[in-house]
Amino acid sequence: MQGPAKDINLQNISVLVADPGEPGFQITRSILRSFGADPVVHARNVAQASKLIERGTVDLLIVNYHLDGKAGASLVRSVREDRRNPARHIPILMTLGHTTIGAVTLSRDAGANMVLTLPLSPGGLYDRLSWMANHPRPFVDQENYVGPCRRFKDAGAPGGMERRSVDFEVDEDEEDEAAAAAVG
Amino acid sequence: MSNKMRNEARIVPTRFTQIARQKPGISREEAIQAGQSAVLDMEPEYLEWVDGLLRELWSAVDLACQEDAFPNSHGEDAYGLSNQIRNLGATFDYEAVTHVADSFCELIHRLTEAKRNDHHAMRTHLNALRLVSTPTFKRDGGGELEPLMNALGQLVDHYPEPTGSVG
Repeated sequence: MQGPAKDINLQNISVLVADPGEPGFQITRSILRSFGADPVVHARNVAQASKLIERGTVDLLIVNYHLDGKAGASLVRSVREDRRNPARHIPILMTLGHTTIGAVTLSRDAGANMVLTLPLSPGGLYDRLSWMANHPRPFVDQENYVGPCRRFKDAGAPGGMERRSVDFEVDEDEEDEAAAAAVG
Repeated sequence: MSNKMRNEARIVPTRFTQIARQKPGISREEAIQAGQSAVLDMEPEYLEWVDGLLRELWSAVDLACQEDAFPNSHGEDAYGLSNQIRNLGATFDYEAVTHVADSFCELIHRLTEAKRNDHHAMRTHLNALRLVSTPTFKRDGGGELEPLMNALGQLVDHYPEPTGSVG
């Protein structure tokens, strides 16, 4: 288990919140701004989000799984798999509302760094941003998966982290080897 | 494993990770305090949002119940609206709203998988959602939440939990 969540600096971090609803966006934006993040931009659907991401000015993507029905995971996958996309390595936080079978796995396999279960809380959001900032993972680029190495169970969650989400727990031997090679 | 794959797995610096680790940052305590204050400032808007979403949900359920076939587009709308309400409640201490809306989503999800319509269960959930949206049900709901959730759970459990679908 790691120590408490480390301080984070979000000044001038540009965040894109891809959320189908105005309230969901406004809550996320208000909390992010209170943390210091700016600008925080809204995309209501996959098309708007893709257009904004392709500009290459987004530092962090927060995407709702229920964007355009249940196309949040597709958006993440398209970002990760597009080699020409300047933002294909950006950290991506997937937010989940009502959860159905496979949603967490789909999010992980699409290339999201972490999943956060809604409703949002300031502590829950902070913990995940701090985790993503301070524990970057090797970026895996395989035929069947593109995204951050999916194995980080051993590292545990930061001490005191609000555990409102289901952390990814997988055992991908190939990714382990690739990640081990990456971190030396 | 191929050497090619080893070479491809590497930590890629991003602007986020570079800036976020710079000093001075914001501590967890400071961030939570600031975030909670921001949430508190939005509470009047929360009440308006839920009121508006409930109106839309009412219409969607009405239309969904006019059709025998399920799933239908109005049912999908109802799921999306209920999910939005679900995602708001607990942020503003309306835990009951989140629980009831989640049950409503689960009901629609199961009805969709079962290709069934159930007007009674849908309207009962809608009425329950309107009830718990009132200030009386803020925080723990005054002990009335548990029996309400048990009753709603029985309506949901009338339909099997989907096992084969993904997402």
